Amino acid sequence: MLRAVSVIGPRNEPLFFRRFLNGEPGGAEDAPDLRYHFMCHSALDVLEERKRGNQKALDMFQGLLCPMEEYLVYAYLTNTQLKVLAILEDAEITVEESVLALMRAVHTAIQRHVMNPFSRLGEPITSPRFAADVARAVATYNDHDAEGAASAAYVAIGEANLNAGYDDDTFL
Amino acid sequence: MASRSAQRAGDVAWARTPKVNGELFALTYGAMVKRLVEDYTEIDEVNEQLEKMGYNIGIRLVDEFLAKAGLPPCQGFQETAEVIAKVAFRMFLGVAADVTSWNSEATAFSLLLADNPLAEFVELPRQYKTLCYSNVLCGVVRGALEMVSEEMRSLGLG
Repeated sequence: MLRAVSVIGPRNEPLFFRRFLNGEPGGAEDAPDLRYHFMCHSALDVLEERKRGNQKALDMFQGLLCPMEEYLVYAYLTNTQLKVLAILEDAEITVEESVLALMRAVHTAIQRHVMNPFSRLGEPITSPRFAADVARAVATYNDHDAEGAASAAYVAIGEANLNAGYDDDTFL
Repeated sequence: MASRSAQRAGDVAWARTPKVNGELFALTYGAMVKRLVEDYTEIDEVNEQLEKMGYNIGIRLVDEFLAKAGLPPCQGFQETAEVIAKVAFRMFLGVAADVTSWNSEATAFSLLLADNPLAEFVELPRQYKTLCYSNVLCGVVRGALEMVSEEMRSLGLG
């Protein structure tokens, strides 16, 4: 379950932040917001360390940065040093491809926003179209996540059946 | 039937014209509009400037069009509308427009662009609500028609 998406600029300035509650953006409580902000901030430090260490990384997807309390932080770093962070709930199974697809969709949304001649670069993104694009990407991710969780549940049930019924006479 | 032959003529003309990258085109136009918005305080003045620029383009573009498209002179205002929408727009913008909303005297019509390459990535901020972003196209049509001695007035709708 995706909890928050954040876009951070090349000088570590926050450009966009959206919290998602059960797939819907929003929530009016400030305190949970601050926690996610703090997590993003700490994740940036991990990203800096990784950047310094591994100069040859060509891939933009950084993968899982660090687990924090009961959340996982995934990062995506573009060549222009733009960072996209996603905070997910720690689940049994997290499909990295879905997270990567989400990051790519957010990157596309950023590109679309940047191509708008009236958008101001380096300033927080207030475009409703961008927010809608991100919400759509998150909805797609949550759908895939739910499928993944459902299939994981099937696997679990299957295993339980296997372990339980070995005295079945049909198999000889 | 006249519309289909106009469409075919438009496709042929489009195939023959040299192409430019759509994103570069959209970004260049966007940069120009943004500059105008910053220089002029009133949005109406920006609309007027865009229309004037379009007019200057149109009076020159019409000769190119008449030479390249190779169509016979139009037999009436309706045919003129079809040729502008299906041949000229297709040839220069890559997308054909639709002719709609004729008035009762058949002296006014609307050109609808389903897919405007100028405004591909554009999202107008709220303070520019009255900006006619593609007003240059109105000027182009006005300039072109004036050169073939049709006086006209166009109202852009952004």
